[in-house]
Order: sequence, then structure tokens, then C-alpha cells
Amino acid sequence: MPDCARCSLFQLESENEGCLHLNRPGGLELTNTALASCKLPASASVLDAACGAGATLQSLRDQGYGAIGIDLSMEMLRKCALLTTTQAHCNQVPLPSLSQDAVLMECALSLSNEMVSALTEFYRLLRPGGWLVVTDIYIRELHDPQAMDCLTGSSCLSGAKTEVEIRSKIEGAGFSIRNWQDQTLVFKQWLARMVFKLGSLDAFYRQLSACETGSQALANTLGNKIKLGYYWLSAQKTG
Amino acid sequence: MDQTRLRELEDQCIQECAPPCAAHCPVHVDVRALTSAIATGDFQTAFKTLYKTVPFPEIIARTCNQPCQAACYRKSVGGDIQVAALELACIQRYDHLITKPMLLPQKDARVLIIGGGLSGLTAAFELVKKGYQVALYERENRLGGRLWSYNEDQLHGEVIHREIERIIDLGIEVHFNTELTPASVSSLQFDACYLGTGAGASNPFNLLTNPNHSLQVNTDTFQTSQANVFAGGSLLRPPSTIFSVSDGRRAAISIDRFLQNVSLTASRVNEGAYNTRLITNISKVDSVEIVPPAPTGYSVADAIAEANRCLQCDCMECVKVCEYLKHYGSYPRKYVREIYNNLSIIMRTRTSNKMINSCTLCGLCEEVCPTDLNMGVVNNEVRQTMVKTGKMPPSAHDFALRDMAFSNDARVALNLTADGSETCDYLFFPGCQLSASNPEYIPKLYQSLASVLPKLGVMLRCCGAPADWSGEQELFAQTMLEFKTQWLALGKPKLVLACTSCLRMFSTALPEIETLSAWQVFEAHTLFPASRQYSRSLAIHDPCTSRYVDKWQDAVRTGLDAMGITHHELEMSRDLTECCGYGGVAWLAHPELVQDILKRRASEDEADYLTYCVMCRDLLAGQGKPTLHLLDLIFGENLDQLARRKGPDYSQRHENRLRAKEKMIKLITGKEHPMTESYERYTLLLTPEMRVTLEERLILVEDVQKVIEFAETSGESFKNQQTGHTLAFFKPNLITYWVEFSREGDAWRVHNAYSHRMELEGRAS
Amino acid sequence: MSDSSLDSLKSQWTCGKCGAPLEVASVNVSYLGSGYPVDMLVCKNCKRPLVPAELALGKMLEVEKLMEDK
Repeated sequence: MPDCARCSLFQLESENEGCLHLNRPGGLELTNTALASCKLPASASVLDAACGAGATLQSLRDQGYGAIGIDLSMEMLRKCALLTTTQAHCNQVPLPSLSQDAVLMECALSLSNEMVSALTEFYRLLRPGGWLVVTDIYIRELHDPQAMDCLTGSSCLSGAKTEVEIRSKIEGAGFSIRNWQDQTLVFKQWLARMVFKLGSLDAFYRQLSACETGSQALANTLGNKIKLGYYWLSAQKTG
Repeated sequence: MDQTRLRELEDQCIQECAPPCAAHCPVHVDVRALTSAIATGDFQTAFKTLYKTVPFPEIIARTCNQPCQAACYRKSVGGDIQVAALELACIQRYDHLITKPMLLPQKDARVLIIGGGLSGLTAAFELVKKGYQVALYERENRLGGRLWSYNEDQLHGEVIHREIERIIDLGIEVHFNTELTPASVSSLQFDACYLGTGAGASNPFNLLTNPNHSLQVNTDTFQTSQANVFAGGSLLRPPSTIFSVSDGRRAAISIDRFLQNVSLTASRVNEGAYNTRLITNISKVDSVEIVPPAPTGYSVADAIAEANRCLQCDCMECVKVCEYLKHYGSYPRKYVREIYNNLSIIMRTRTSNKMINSCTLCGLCEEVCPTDLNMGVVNNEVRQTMVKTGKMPPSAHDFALRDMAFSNDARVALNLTADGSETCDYLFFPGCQLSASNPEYIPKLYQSLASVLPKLGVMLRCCGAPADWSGEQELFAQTMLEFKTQWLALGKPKLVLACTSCLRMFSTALPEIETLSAWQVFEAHTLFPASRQYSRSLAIHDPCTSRYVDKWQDAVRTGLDAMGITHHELEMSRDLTECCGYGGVAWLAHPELVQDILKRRASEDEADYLTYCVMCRDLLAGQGKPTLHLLDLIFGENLDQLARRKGPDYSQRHENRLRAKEKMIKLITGKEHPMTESYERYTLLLTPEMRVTLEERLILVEDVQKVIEFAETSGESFKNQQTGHTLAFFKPNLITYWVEFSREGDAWRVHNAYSHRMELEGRAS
Repeated sequence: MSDSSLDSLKSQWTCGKCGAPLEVASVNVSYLGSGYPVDMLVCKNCKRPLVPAELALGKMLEVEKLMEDK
């Protein structure tokens, strides 16, 4: 579960455009596509886990959902003043069991140190047949498993997982994945914006990792050994 | 691909079939594992391997007639492996390791064994291990039967006693000096019986016999005419200790099944000696003489030397010749299974997708495979399934498919007859990549062909290979249909091709179309220029799609001779030729693997290569291997430089296709294409450094000229207040070229040139 | 483009067609169907954009590779 201070990858744009939760790859359009795949009832209750500054939350409310947001960062939550939010960790959401029709988690699942316990908590919150909707980064190609070490020093990338790992964790928590859509193009477009903003991918990697030398290794890793991708998925609580 | 097809394909790969030694051994001693262990000095593991299948290791090692040797692939290259002597070398060192085997909990059923020879003892051993109560009746006062007929030097009585006692001690009830008769047998309590009494013994059960008085015995189950009586050993066949052990064991399996009341016959294939399907290629194996054992047995060093002679028989024919099959560390039987799993589960693993898409589909595996398994066909089939079921990653072949779409766009494709008539007799189809690599050759080649072929038309477009290779069946069919429609309208001309991949596509999808290669036309009309020279002998690299196309292969060789070019064959040539890595769009899926493929091919011969596929040429030359295209020899100047030139990049390839079209329109109609060459009047002043910059940035002189022409005629440019230089851009097609220049007299001095592919769309809203 | 390099270019170049000075504007550049707003110099009148070598061979090339990369 991220607080936004940890989320350096997507906070790069934070100064004027907010962090990823505002300006994540694909934006609201992607969120709405993913949500639409669930065909939620008109006034469904939706939890936005790691809601950030509340852009999605606002959109959910505008669409008529009973939307509640949680985030660890009070700073972020203050920006959501007119919305229903509470400061909470994904592992301990102060909501009753079987109370939600959907849980949405955008660009945060791989940041979570405790992905499994967060998924377990979401399972608890959801009604039978309820939906889990996730958008996030994943490892699209892994040519050298040892290259994973190189990501460790780079904040949020350290939690990135392969599709197989993500699927098995989500299904292991009792969900059935109904949709998995690769959105790597959207991620690349986002990276391209970074290039124009910061000057080069290298400059981007330098911001990601603490030091110069780290950025070299990271650039090499992300160029050759690991290819990142982006996805949205929707999964249903079964069994 | 369904389960049945998977099984068939798996079965077609013989890599996991037993080596001939183990297959011909009736108890299937794993000789390959045994020699493998000895070869590393590990006699202990070797001994365990032997004892696993042979309960009397020393008796067998000293008496076995070694059916393994008759089938040994080493036999013809130095002599068969001395298996028994090697076994003995292990036994002498590790016999003491034998421990009492695990016995299953005792059962109520009681089995009678008649005859204490090797087959009866083996049956007793197997059945007592399974928990049966075993009672053995022996006519003589000692066990071993025929074993006592060997002389002491070969098989000492002490060995017989030791190895048999070890068996009896497991709890077998033995009755000596008891020859059973019909009368005495009827008084005994038993549930099943094994008869191992040797040749010419009495028949206490009055079992049915054959006309020659031998017992009627089922050779698969060893069952006699009485359901609970089984027979084997030398009463069935000429004496052989190893076959006696085999019979005893197999009869014991039947007895166990009989007593458990399950099928005697189900899944009992290859139980005794059989012919394996495994084939090992020994054509490159050097002969090595047998290392004979000393009279006292092998020394450690000699045993290791002899074991090292073992070929460790397997197949791996395809893996040996294919970098792709080698890369994934296994062999087709396993790959087929992995590919099937990748298809059948929803949870995709990227590695298998990549594996499926990394095959060049070149078919060399089929050519070398003893059973003609073609992994290319499998991979292509699976790609088609993936496309159909939406499991193909959308990015997998997109780039190649867009390239194909570009070639077949109306802007780029060309369909032109010579004299403006509607039809033609011949249609020159050079292929999209020849236009892309060497547009200057297209009009030259056309002119040569037109000088001998009446009514020659020309068609510039892509044959559809990228769609076929990507598993995009529908797109491929549609591409072929577009072609066929035009071909019909042209009056069904004969196709004159210059690319073997085009040939493959047309001959597969439209076999009714008559094709011939440009090289065959050159050959038939002696168009090859005489007295061309190249400093060294060229090695011929046949394109992978020329496999089995002798006419093309021959015409190229004839052409080289006609031009006076010295040439020689690569070891892997003609039907054995290797793909450069372009086939099957492998270069897109796995560029690193393609580098390995190219390195392998490039290092096969020190000579420079000659090929007749531009993609082979460009890829090999890109890898640093000087390679000429046949057309370089026919039309090119400065061959040394041509052999070393790098191929154009992808954008340049697009530009080149357009250029080829311009040139052909001009040649045939005499009319300028809208993209005129008026820019050529802008004479450039280029420093050597600037020429290098242009080369590195893949900007041609004509690109620079076009920018200057545009700036000078339109005035659309920028002026530098300090230097007086002009900066302007022009976008002829896809790439935007920028040039900074200044006028010097009648010429233009170039100060900088660069390009980008991103498009400028004007002000963002 | 950094502000300083934009300023430096602005002081050097004028429009060759109309002679007008250049100004900074956001120009949409696109590749393979994806567009991005980039600040660059354009002619005040004609609005024709100026892509300096640094931009073409730097950020634009990097994005081209990124978008083409599998």
C-alpha cells in the first residue's frame, strides 16, 4: 500500500500535475474502460484503494456510484475535501465485510509490500460476485531473473511482478480474473511524456534511483533485461 | 492443436526413445547411464544402475551373451562397447553395497516356483518383494540349474552361491531334491505357479503342448493353457542367462496381475527386447579402438577409457543444426509439450510466446529429422491458433505487418505493363525487400529480363510472407486474393521472381501460377555478364526458402560459373541450408537470438558469402560478414565495398521502395513520377566529415537536395542572423529531413543535416 | 527544450519567409499514433516550427525508439 511519498515513479510529475493517482498512464479513460467491463449496478458501492488526490473518486461519484476512498497520505486526502475518504492502510480498511460491489486499485498494487494481505482484505470487503479492478505496471518480459535485483533500489519498481505472478496472487486470494488487458502502449506514451519533460529516459532513471551509477544499471536493465508493461484487469470474487 | 495432435507430434520426436543397447537388452539395463557414470570415474553410481535391473549382477556380467552389443552404434566405428567387462569392473569394486531390498507387506496368496534356475529364481525374487508367499521346488540338491555348466574360470561356484543366497535369504521357502509330478502337484496348496524347469523337463500340470512337444505359452504374458500356470526360461528358448532373468521378471508381473485380478495384457509394450526408434547419426564420429580388459578385469583408467568410447546415443539432429532449438535448452518433444501448454492455459507465460515467435520456420529441422518433424510447421500452426483465439500479443508482429501494409499501399505498389496494353505474358515481381534494399537494381534487372522476355510487365508489392509467418491467415489470404485479382486481369502472366520467399508464398497459396526465377532467365538466355572478378572464392549461402528448389539453386551456380566467379559450397548448403534469422519474423521476436543465428552462419566458412536473397545479404553483412548478392555481381561496381555495405534501416527501406517505383515508372512510361528528380540540380559542397555524418544518420545526398530545393523554391525556412545560414525541412514521405546550408556560388554548402520520424502536427491546442 | 537553449535559438533565428521573429509555442509532435505537446520555437506569423538538431537527435529519437521497442 503506497503512501505517495514512496511512489517516486509517478510522483515525478507531482509538482504541478499531481502524482500518479491523478496523472497515471491512461488516466480516467482507462479506469472507466476497466470499470465498464464489470457492468456494475447503477448505484454500486465502490472503494478506491489508494485514492490519492481523488480524481477517480470524483469521477466515480459523478457516475452515481457510492464511492469511498482510502489513502495513507493525509496530504493527499486533504485534496479530496468534498469526497468521502478516510486515512487507512489497504490491509485494514475500516469498512464492514461484504459491504462493497467493487474495489478499485490504481497503480498501487505492485507498490504494496503486502500484496497478499491487501488482496485478502479486499476479498473480505467484497460481496460475493463483487469486482476487483486493478491498473498497474507489470513485468512484460524478463530475460534475466537476476536483473530484478537492480530494481530493488528504485522505489516502486521493486514490487513489479510478471503477469503470471500477479494472476496467481489474485487467484490465490479467491478471485477469478475475467479480463486482463495489456496497456503497454499507454505506459509508453506516458514514458514518452517523461522524456520530453525531463530530457531523456536516462534523466528519468536518475530520478528513480538514488545515484548516477544506479541509473546506468537501471537504464541498462530496463532497456535489455526487463521490459515493463502496463495493464488493467478485472477479477470477480468467487467461491 | 488438440491432445491427439500433441501426442502425435510428441511421438514423432524420437529423442526420448531408448538407446539400442537398452532396447535390445531384455531387462533394459541402462547401459548409457552406466557408461556415463564410469566415464566420470563414478563406479558406484554405475553399479547401482546395473543392480536396479539385474538381481544377479556378477552372474550376468560373467555369462551374458550381450544382445546390447549387436545393436551398439559404436560397433562400426571402432567396435562395440565392452559392456559386460565394464559391469564386472563395477561389481568388483562395489558389490558390497548391495542391501536387502524393501519387501511389501505379506499377502495371503501363495506362489509355487518349479525349477531353481535363473528364471525361477528371478520370478521368486520379484514375487517375494511384492509380498507373496513363495515356495520353490528344485529337482537337484542345489540351486542355479544350468549355471553350474559354466567352467569355473568364467563363473566360479562361489559366485553362484553368493548371489543366489542373497535372494533366498529374503524369505523364499526352498524344497530341494523334489521333482514334482502331476500327483504330487495336486496335493500342494498354491494360487499361481511359475514353471522354469528348463528344456525337456516333465509336465506336471499336463499343459497343452505344440506339435513339437514344447509348451504352449503366450509370449507376451508367459501364461500357459492353465490360467494360473506360467512358464519361461530355457524351456522356451535357447539358453541365455539374461533372457532367463527377463522371462522370470515378466512372468512375475503376469502372476502379480493374475493374482490381483487385473488385465494381463494392458500397457505391456516394449517389455522384452525390442527395436528402438532412436537413430544416432555417426557420420561425424571418429573411430576409436576397443580398450580390452586385462585377464583380471579392467583397471580404473582402462574402464574409464572404454566407457568414454560410448557415444551416449541420442538423436538431437535438429538441435545440433538449429540455433533456435538449441537456445531453449531442450528438444522438440519437450517444446511441443510446452507450446501446447502455452496454448491451452489462459495464464500465458511470456517465455513460451516468445519461443513460439522466435522460430524462423525455415524447415531445416525437418530436413535433418529422421522422422521429418518440422517445428516450423508446428510453430506456424500455433501462431495461427494464437491469432484466431486472440492470444497473440498484439505487439508481436505489428511492425512487420505494418511494413507489409506499406508495401501494398497504392502509393507504393506498382502494376505496370510494358506497352500500355492491358495484359502481359511475363510479370516481373522482384519482391518488396529487393526494392527496399537495392532500388537501383530493379530497373536494371527489368531491362535485362525485358531484352529476352516478350511483353514483360512489372509488379512492385509484398507477397504476403509477413502475414503468413505471423500466423495471420486471414490477412495472408486477403493479400493473395488482391494479388490474384490483378494477376488475372493481367491475363495470367508467368511470374518472374527474384526472391525465394515470394516463390514459397506463391507456390503454396497459388500453385496454379507458373513461376520462374530471374536467375533461370539469365541462365537460359546467357545474360550473365562474362569475366566478373572477385578477389576470393565465394561460399554460397542459399536462402532458407530455396530449400528443395533445385532450379533456382542450380541457376545461381551456373551463373557464377558463367561470370567466372570462383565459388564453393558451405557444409550446410542447398537442402541443408540455414536461415539467416529473417524468416518467420524471428528478428522481431528475438533479435538477440537472431544475432546468434547470424554468428553461427557467418562463422561456418572464412570465405566471403554469396547469396540471392537481399535480407540474407543485409543481415549477414550487418553482422560483419562480407556478403554479396548475385545482383551485385551482375550490376555492381567495387565489389569489395558492396560486400561490406550495411543494409538500409527500416525507414530507408520504405523510401527505397518509393524510389524503385519512381524509377520503374520512368523507365517504362518515360514519364516523371510526381516526385521528380529536379532536385539533382542543387550541387552540394560536403566536407568528408559531413559525408560521414550523413552516412551515420542514414541521410542520402538526394534527401539533402530535396530539402534545399524545397527551401529555395518555397522560401519556407529559417535564417540565422549571425551566420547567415538557412535552416529548412522537407518531408518526402515518412521521415522529416532538416538541413542547415548556405549558398556558395553555384553550389550549396551543407553545415548540418538530421532527421526525425516524429511528425509535427502544428500547434497543440 | 530547456528555456536557455530556446532563448539562445530565439536570438539566432528568424523566419526565412516573412522575416518575423520566433516565439515559444507548444507544438504537437506525434509518432505511431501517439501525440505529445512539446515547447519549441515557431514563426510568430507563419507558425512554422523549428526543430533543432538537439531535439531531433535527442528527445525525439529517444521517443521514436521507445515507441518502436517491443
